Amino acid sequence: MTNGLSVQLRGQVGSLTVDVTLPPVTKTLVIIGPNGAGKSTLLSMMLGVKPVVSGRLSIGAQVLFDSATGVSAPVEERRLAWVPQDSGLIPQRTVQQNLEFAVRCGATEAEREERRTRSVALMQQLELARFVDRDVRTLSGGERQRVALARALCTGPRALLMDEPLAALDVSSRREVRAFLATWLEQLTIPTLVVSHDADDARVLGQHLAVLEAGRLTQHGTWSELAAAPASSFVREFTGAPSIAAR
Amino acid sequence: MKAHLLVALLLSACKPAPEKELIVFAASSLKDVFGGLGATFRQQHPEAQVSFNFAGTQELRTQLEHGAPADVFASADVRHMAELERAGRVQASTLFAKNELVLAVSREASVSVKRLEDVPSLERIVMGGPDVPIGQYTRELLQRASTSSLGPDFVARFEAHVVSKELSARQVLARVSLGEAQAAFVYRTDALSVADAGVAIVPVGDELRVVADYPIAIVTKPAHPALAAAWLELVHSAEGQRQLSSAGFVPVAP
Amino acid sequence: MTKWRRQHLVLAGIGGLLALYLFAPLVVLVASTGEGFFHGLAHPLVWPALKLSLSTTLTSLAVVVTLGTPLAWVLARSSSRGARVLESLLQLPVVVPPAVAGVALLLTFGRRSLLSAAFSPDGWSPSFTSLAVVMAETFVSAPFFLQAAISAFRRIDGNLVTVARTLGASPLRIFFSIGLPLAAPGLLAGGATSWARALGEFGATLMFAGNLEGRTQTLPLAIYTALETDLKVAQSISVVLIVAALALLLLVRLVTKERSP
Repeated sequence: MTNGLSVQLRGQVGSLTVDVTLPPVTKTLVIIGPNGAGKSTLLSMMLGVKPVVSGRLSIGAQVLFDSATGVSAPVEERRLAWVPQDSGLIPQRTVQQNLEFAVRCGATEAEREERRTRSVALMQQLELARFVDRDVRTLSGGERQRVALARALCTGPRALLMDEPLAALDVSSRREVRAFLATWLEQLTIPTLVVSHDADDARVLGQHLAVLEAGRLTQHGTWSELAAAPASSFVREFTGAPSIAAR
Repeated sequence: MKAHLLVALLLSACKPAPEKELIVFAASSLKDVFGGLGATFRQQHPEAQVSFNFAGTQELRTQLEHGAPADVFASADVRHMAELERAGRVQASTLFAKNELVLAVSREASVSVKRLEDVPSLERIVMGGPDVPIGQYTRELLQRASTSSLGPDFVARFEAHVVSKELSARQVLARVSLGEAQAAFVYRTDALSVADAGVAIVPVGDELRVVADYPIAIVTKPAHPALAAAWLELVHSAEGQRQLSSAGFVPVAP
Repeated sequence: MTKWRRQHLVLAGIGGLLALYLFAPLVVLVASTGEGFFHGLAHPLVWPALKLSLSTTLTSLAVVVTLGTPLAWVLARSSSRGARVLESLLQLPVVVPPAVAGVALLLTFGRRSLLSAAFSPDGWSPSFTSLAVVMAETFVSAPFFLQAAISAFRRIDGNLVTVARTLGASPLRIFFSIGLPLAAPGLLAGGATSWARALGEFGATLMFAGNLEGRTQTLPLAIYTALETDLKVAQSISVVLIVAALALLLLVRLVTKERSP
């Protein structure tokens, strides 16, 4: 039984067939790939919102999906935290209200209490106290991502899935937020998947990278491994490795 | 070039009405019989077309007061016609037919309603609105009823069970023939037209008989005066009176 | 004058023609009513009709909103072909002439309908009752609300709903915490349009419910009845309806402006 997050999923979305077996994820895995490769789709399949034809999804001993045995946990019960590209906060509501919403989504009174305790702690750790009563639409991109993180983590999830966390930010704030995110992810104890198309993200945010192209995993490893021996032209260009002809 | 095409298109759409189209406004109760007369008219005047506007007399009067284009107006009562004459909208009118009121009873209710005395036991009666000729004739009938052998109680109970006041005689009739209303006072001609649909007719009797006078007139400035005069001639002629009579109208002595 | 300015004026001119055409008759109506307005309002037809119109339209609005909001939510979030077909079909009452709607209601709920026979051997039917007025108004006004509500719900970012689900939110919680608040301006505007349509309903009401003061004679029916006796009365009632419509329009403007960022 592998520790950490084990993802092996096959599904069809539109004209794209996604058939991926990820290496086991215990810390942070950054998924990179060209546009339309199916990176976000893979996350949706893991969450359970896009159909999966066959495969298995588990965290530690907890099996969330297994086509062989017919197990498929409902979206609401998978406890996979998801932060979409634009942070997915409820507009016209304050930071406090957004966190309250996550707390109230707890199934039992006990669970809600736990979520409340965690959200208080997270607010402090992520330094949200300053703008806890502000409408989320008035926050900067980086501040919104911090709120989204707090909201996602207050549920005590089994894993964290982030889709292009820095893409909606303007270039000048990206470096700062990226550094912050890297530190934060480092001290998280749950497996994390980060989807990104940005090379800097890939270099900084995770130790391991997985490359998705046309719905399939073409390579995985550390940044230096990929740069040293790129398996495709995409990886070569992405890592900036000089082409064979140039050498 | 394109502009010229557009203008030509617009102009062709605004072509004036066909040379000879006689427009007749007539009370709704004249619908069937005037339709028949219209066919006769077309045989006599092949170059002409006849268009009808059938509605409650009071509606037509309002339209004419506001200048609606018509050549002839046939009303179900003298009151509305007199108003139009007074206002100078129509020329002098002449009576061309009479009608009588009868009680029309729906198929379902005809089982229990055989005489006027049975009417107050019903729950859904309709009549014409305050200004509709059939409504006024009905009120006239009710007034006679209160001093007749039926007594004022008949009237009170009748009025208590009126559930709708329709805007034309044909609408009153429709309620009964559809079974929505159980009974209503309608023109004999209208009741006859739906007799085969199961609508029963209860005669009103001499004590309460109400006669409706139908006048007809040409409007003050008709678009087709010759055709309008021809229509009136047809209506007053032996053939016209024959058709009116077979529809159930009471012919008028020439 | 530059070419741009000239073309702009032509466009504005063409559009202005339509605007003028829509606006002018209403202005003439209000202006020509003048001081006769209050005298017209005193007519015995008016207050029963006003009360009836208010009570029936508010009832039909309540029905439309209560039943229509969940329906619109389900249709907006569904991606199945059946939902698309149903959505189109639900617009039919808009296309069908009101008189035809009245006939359809009669055939379905009238005294000789199958439904009526099932209810009681006597053949009870809502026709000629105030309930029939509400039914007619609901039938013709519901599609307006549904269309606005479906649009409003559809505009909500799908990611919000997904995130809520991953947090463990139940469908009801998503509806009340995300769906309703975010779609609120659209729902209110749809409700106002629907109410306006119900207020003006004439043909189906006349045919299905009949015409009796205090029970089924709504403001539009009163106008039509008064039209033949006293034009001034009809004008006064018409002005009342116009004022009510204006008030509704203003309300919608205010609400949608307040809520949008």
